Amino acid sequence: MDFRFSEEEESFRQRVQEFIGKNNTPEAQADNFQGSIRGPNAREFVRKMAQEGLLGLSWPKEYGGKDMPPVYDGILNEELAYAHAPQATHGVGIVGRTLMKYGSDWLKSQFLPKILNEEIELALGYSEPEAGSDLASLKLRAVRDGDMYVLNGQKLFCSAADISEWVWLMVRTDPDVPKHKGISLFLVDLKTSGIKVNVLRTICGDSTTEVFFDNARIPRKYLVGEENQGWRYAMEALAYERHVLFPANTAKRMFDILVGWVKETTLDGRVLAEDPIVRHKIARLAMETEALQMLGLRVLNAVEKGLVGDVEAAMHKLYGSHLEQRIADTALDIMGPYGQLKEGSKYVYANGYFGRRYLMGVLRTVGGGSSEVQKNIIARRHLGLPT
Amino acid sequence: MDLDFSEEQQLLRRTAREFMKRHFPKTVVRELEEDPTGFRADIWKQVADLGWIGWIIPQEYGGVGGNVLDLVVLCEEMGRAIFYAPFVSTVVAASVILDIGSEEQKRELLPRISKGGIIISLALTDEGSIYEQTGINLKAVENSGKYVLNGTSIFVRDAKVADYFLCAARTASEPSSKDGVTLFLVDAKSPGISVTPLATMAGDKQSEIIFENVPTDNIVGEPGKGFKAVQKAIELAAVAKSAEMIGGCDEVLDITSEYAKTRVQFDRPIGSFQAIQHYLADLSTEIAGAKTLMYKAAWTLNEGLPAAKIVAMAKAFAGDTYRHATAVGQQIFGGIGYIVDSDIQLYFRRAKTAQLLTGTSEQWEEVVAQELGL
Repeated sequence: MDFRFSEEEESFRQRVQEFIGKNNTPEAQADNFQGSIRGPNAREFVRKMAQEGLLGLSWPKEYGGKDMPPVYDGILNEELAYAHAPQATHGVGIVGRTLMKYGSDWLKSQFLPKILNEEIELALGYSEPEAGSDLASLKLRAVRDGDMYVLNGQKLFCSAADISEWVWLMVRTDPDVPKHKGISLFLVDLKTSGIKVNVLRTICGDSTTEVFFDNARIPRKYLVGEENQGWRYAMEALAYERHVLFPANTAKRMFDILVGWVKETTLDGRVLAEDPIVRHKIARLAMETEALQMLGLRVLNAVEKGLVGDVEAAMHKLYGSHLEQRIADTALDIMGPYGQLKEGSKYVYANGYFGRRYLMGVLRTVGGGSSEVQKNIIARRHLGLPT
Repeated sequence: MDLDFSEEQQLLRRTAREFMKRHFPKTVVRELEEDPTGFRADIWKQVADLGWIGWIIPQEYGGVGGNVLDLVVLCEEMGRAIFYAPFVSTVVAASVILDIGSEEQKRELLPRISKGGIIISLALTDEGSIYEQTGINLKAVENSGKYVLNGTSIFVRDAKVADYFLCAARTASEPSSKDGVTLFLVDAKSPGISVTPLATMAGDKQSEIIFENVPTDNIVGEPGKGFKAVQKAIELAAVAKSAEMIGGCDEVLDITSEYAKTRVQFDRPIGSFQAIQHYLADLSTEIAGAKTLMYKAAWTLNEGLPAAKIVAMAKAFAGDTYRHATAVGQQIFGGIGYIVDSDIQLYFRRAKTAQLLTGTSEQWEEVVAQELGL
């Protein structure tokens, strides 16, 4: 057992930190939401990552990757998360990996190089108004018509569809079989006629979208793998997404900012860091933040050993998302009435950072598989409890 | 980075689990709760023969020469079986002797400790205090090279079977100061020592020891400079206790999950209800975090790196997790878990004790706060 990263890994970490220091401008930060790209400056950041050779680290060489062990992806994502910097997630993660394994040669040749160079951005089209945690009940219908499929229906929470060129779309191709067995995956050009993207504003000032499909015609060559196998492909990729989309260092950064703030802030005549109640709260969060780092290492350890790591990823996502909420909530509690003030207010603390994180936190325990879904995974796959 | 144990460590774990199954079933656990000494000499001898007592003692002093990570493997398995013996106290005392004892003490004591011939209890908490690090108020007065001890130590485990007590006493300066603490290895049969059992909810064997003009010259380390060694000893003890607690957590999770799969209500196993599943999913997540924290603390000690913060985190987190695990276990076992014949209650009672000993969560949290520079 060894908790140390190797010298090569540490020097890679340093390289990433230097890159972030140089390129993570306030504009780039403002254009991303918890690592997801939401605007041109964040895309520019990811393009620079591509130029720097930081995308597709663990992709095989034949697809333009560097064939590096997955631990390097882990280090990259943790450093990006610590800096609250934009991340390249869907393309090099879910989409790229699934294409490599199941996509046709033509799809691979069309998409993999563009993903590696951040020439295209991909939205994830999974959820629907009536398909949330019960994702497999999705209804967006794709009907075969010669060499084309005709799509009708709606997606919801299709984040970044307004700024992306393509959407990675889960559709129903067979309504007459058990729900998991009639789902297919498509790559769909968002400029296709019959597709309409509507932006929805969120409570923290971010946005997501709903996407409507009205007789949108998609060429068959954009079908990923086999028809009606999409559920299996997507589930395989999801364990990966949970690890990549929820790095432990988001919470670590929040915690460090909180510690810095209580050390330098005086309320009611004393420095907050000297208040026994504050010390107690901070110490608890410190332990939980360290425990989250440990859960993150467990995912990396599993992936490095060639295991799926689905249970480890579920534990990590479950614990981390709730911890982020606890950190933001604790910060606001310590601030008292000042905690409710928004960025720019005369009396706001930490420039409203924790208020923003408090609102953002709501999404963390519902998006990317809700806490309840993670708990079901752990209970059934890890503990073997019956359904 | 590699979070897996070596082949040898995995073998050690299998051996320990097998040993506990065979020699330390719950009938023995219950028997020892009722026994005034809580001690089985035959089992202690077997444990010594396996080399476990001297596991982290170097071979030149008659030990096995293993490391702290091996030790936590053993402690996890002991905790899983709620093994009871003066194991951790003796191992920690041996590590203090190894660390600051004289060459003569090492040659004299360590080989005998390894063979199971010497049992040592830790007397590091004194009357009126709960925190070992500043609560030392046992007094030692020097008189021509000899010392005389006066005071009362409490929460001393296995005092009735101990051959020696490792005591921290004030030889100078003000109470609660870090200076002027001297470590003594006091012969348990010394005149002036009286041992009185303290009844605890875990049914373990803790005592009050009153020292009344107890003469001793068996100093470990330098006079007045014992505080650092006490801190180090407590760090090792805290990691070992954390490992025991994590082992207990694993067993609680196993027996509770198993019960949830077989207990039928409303015509279905209760483990099929999400209310039950989610309790256990949350719990297994906490246990995974607590376990890896404890491993990191053990690894940090093993590497000789500064360990105060990670040890503090490991002990507080393990303590809270163990308490929570056993409370969830009691809830899922329902009424039957409240009956003394159930096994879950054995863990439930021990978890609270373990959480409160070797530094409470609140005390370790304060260490974390200080380490963060608050």
